[in-house]
Amino acid sequence: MRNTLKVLRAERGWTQNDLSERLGVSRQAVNALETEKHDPSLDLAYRIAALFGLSVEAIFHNPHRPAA
Amino acid sequence: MSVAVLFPPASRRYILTSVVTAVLYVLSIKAISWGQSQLDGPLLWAAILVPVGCIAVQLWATLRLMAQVDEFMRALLARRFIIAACLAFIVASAWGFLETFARVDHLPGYMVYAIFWVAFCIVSPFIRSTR
Repeated sequence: MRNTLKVLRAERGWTQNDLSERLGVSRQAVNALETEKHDPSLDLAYRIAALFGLSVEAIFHNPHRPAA
Repeated sequence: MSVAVLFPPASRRYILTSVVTAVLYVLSIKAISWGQSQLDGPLLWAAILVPVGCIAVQLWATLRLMAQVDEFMRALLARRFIIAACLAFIVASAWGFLETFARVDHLPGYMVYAIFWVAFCIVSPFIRSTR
C-alpha cells in the first residue's frame, strides 16, 4: 500500500529503529511498511496515524477512493 | 546492533526451545534404536512418545513465536509455514505413490516433519512480503 511513512519519519529525523520503538513493532515491520511489502492492520494504521497526528488516509493511499 | 534487538525475548525463547527439542529428538531416536532389542510393549511405546513429544513441543514453540511477534512477522511466518506444509504434503504424497506404484525405497512417515522444515528453510528467503 502506497504511503508517506518514510517521508514523515525522515521529517522528524527518526531512524526505522526509532519509529519501530514508538510503534511497538519490529524494525523489519517498519521497513516492510515503507517498502510496501506489508499492508498494516487497521489497528497499526490508526497507531501510526495517531503518532504522526494525521488521518490514516493522509499517510496511506486509499486505492478504493475515486480520484477527485 | 545489540543482541536484544537482533534476538528479542520471544525469538530467544523459540531458539532455546528448538535447540533443546532438536537435541532431545536426536538423542531419543538414537537411544530407541540402540535399545530396540531390550524395549518391548508399553515401554517401547512410551519411549516413542519422547521424540513425538519433541515434535509437539517444537510446533507449539513455533505457534507461540507467531503469537508473540508483531503483525508483519506473524503474517510472514504464517505464509512460510503454510507454503512449507503444502510442499511437505506434496513431497510425502508423491513419495507414497512412488512407493506403491514404482517400488521406490520406503520413506518412514516421521520424515515428513524433517521435509517440512527443509521446505520452510528453502521457501523463507523467497517469502519476504506479506502481500
